[in-house]
Amino acid sequence: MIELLFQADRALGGGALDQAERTYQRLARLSPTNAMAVVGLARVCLARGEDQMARALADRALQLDPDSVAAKRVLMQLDRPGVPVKFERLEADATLIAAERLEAFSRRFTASVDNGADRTAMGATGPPIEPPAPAGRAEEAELTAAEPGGSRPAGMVDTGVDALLGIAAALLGDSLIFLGVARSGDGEPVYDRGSGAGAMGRLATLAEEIEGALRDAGLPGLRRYCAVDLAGSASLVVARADDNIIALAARTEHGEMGFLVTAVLPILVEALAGG
Amino acid sequence: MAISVKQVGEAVQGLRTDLGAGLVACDVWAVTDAVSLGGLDSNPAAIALFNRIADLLSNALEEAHFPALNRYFMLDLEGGKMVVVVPAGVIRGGMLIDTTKTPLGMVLAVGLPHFRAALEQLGA
Repeated sequence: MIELLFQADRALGGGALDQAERTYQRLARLSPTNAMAVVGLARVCLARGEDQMARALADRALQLDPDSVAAKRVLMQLDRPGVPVKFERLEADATLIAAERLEAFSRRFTASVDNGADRTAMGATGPPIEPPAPAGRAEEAELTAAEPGGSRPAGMVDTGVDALLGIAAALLGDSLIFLGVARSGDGEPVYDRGSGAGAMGRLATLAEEIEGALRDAGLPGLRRYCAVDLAGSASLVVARADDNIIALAARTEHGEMGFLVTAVLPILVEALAGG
Repeated sequence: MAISVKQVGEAVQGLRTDLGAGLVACDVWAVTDAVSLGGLDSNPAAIALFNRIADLLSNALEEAHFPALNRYFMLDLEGGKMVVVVPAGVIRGGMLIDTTKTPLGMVLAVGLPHFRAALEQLGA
């Protein structure tokens, strides 16, 4: 799935609209609830000047994933057609989307404090985060509904996932391709967004394999992360956060690996670990 | 495979110049047998380990349906150390870095691109 998404995005970025459309359509057939595929089709229509269809597709993507920054961005471009697309990341509107998310997290945080929970705020500019439910409180960890575009069978409170996803989306925008969380030890996926094929379980196993290999060789263990430069101008980071393993993949067309591991990852790890 | 020992030495020396005291060790090895072709404070056990980890990583990416490993991977280790492995065709290069002496930015922006370019010439 992710490979297809990369292919489609590359085609779209290179102006091969027909090829991009075919690939996004294939992805949508394979994964009908994949909001990223629908947003991709919306972006193809936008590039062709088919505004009505682009809007309908972006709306559909938001039905599948109400947090889709990419879909909101398509609508933003339709509403403000004079703004050059290449400057969209610098627009105040994009900042507003991030601010809305952070405000939502703050509300959740306030609610958790009101309920007597012990939380640590991330600082004046960062959102307070709701951590995962502690072990042994399965009744709190049970989720009532799967998130559109992602799966959370059990093991993390709803607000923890939302906060993590929201922060990642706010920091990376539509460069974010994959976000997953798994329990370390047994590698049981807690959340897997973007792969559509249970990639998180395999990546969690990888982290354990690497740590095992280092241990066998008598070398120091992983301090925080394994970062991988992927084909197709993308990067993958797999990291430990207390009792969880987090994996994050993003398009890094301009060599933003340093940004991922030094800026984005620490915030996500802190969020997942509950501050 | 005909690899120039002189060119391996130049690649290692170039990395040493770029990273200075932060470069703890470095090796260039053949993928198939994990035998060192040259390095700085060469460590056969470490070569075997990182060759194995590169294979584990490639397998995991394939099984998770992710794009393949491209230019490098990094392991942030306890004790302020970092390992960077660079695949280049039939050879791989690896470096152990003391991140308290050389910042990550220097590794990513200077040392790694130069080292990779040198390895690609070797592995071509």
